[in-house]
This record gives sequence, C-alpha cells and structure tokens, in this order.
Amino acid sequence: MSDDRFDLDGEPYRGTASLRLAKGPLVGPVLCRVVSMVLARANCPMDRLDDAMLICDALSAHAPDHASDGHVSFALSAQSGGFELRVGELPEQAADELVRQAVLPGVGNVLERMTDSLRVERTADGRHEELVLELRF
Amino acid sequence: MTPDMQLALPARAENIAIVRHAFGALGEAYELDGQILSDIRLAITEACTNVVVHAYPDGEEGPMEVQATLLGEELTVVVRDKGEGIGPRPDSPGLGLGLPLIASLAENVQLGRDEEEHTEVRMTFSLFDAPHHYEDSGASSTAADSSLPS
Repeated sequence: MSDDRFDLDGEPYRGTASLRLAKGPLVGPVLCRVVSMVLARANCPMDRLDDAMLICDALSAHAPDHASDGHVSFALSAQSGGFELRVGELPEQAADELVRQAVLPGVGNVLERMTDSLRVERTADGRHEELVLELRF
Repeated sequence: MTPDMQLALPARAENIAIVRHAFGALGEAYELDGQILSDIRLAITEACTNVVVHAYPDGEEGPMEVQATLLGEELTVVVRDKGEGIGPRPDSPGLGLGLPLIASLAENVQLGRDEEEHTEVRMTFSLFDAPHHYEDSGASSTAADSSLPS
C-alpha cells in the first residue's frame, strides 16, 4: 500500500492554511487544533504529530511575546511526507529570540530538536522576519 | 477592529472540518456554553458550505476566509470568499435551507460585500443569552435580519 495520501480525485494531498490570532488565550488551542487537522489529513504518523504539538506548544507560549501589533501569524503547508510552518510578522531579531526561548528542562531546545529544518527569512516587503520550521515524515 | 482569529483556507469540503475544529478551540479558550458553541459551529458550517458549493465555478479553486471577533458578550463571525457572490442558482444541489438555518441560529445576519467587493456573511452571536432551542424556532428567527432571502 502506498504511503501517499490521495484526495478523491486522485491528486496527492496538499493542505494549506493561514492563521492570524490575537495575543491571548486563543493562540495555543487554535494553533494546535488547526495544525493537528492539517497533519492528520497529510497522513502524518503519530510520533511526528506529537512532535508537531510540542512545537505548537512552544510557539504559542513564546511567539505572542514578539507580536508586533498584538497578533501572531502562522502559515501552514502540508503534503505527503512533510510539513512547513511559518511564524510571521515578527520584528527584527525576534525569530532568533523565539528559538532561544524554546528550551524545556531535561529536553533541550524543542524547536531545534523536533524540526528537520529551522531558518529565518525576511518577508517580501523586508519589514518583518519569518521563522520557518520544517518537519519531514 | 482587528479580528481575534482569522483563518484562510482553500474552499474545499475537507477544510470545513478544520474551521469547525478551530471554533471548537475558540469555544474552549473563551469557555463558551456548549449549546451556544454548537449553534455557532453549525451556522459557520452552513456558511462555509455555501462558499465551497457556490462561490467558485467547477474546477476553480479559491479562498475561504473566516474571521471571529469577540466584543463584550457578542461574537461576530465573518465568512468571506472571492467568488461569484450570492445569487439565484436554479441548478443548486442543496435544499436552500442554509441561510434560514443561519438566521435562526445567529442573533443577526448580514449578507453583503466587503470593501474589496468580496462576498461575505456576517453573523453575530450572543454568548451569554439562553441558547436557542429548536422547538422555539419561531422566536429565535425573529431576531435575525429580515432582509434575508428565503
């Protein structure tokens, strides 16, 4: 049996979503729910889904500290075999600081340990940073 | 006012479940009454289904945007698309019950276009009133915008 997840029309699954949340109680629950749904549809195995939830917990705990206008933006893209999560609208130096904050006692840096790729990019207009995280499964 | 939650997804049937889950999380975060949350999710499901079924011609894919704003004891939800707008459709596959159902569940419903001419359904829900009860649907529907098409 193929590992690929297919839509009913035979095309390989590709899920995208963008999310913008006000700093506050919504960030953690909504981010985790949306990411878990998108990953489930991309046939993500349970162990990587667990990793993704840890990442979401770390991001929702610290990303609101860097919200430039009281909101945090996320862009999700998942397909068979991988997942990309972008944390957007971060001010200068905030992406690196966000990574530094994601340390759990006894675990280490959650973002560095759980992702396959972690990088900082600038938005097209050059005004903000984006933290780009990739998971392969 | 900037919404508390903005979610944009391709207008595909499978993504309606993601919207429902997002509002489930919103309900948990805001500690909403279960019946009120259930009504909100049902109304949003109907609005999103309208986008998936009617907004874009066959084979074309476009966005479905959902916004939620909490202001005092009211939650305003806007479901928006960039498609053809709301109009008569003789070949509609549905029973035509979506908008009346939304009107019976929400305190207020407005259909229209935003400043960029995108079609939107704007629903307002009272979060701390007694929930609507289906056996009393006549009373609840009177609170909705009477300009809705049937």
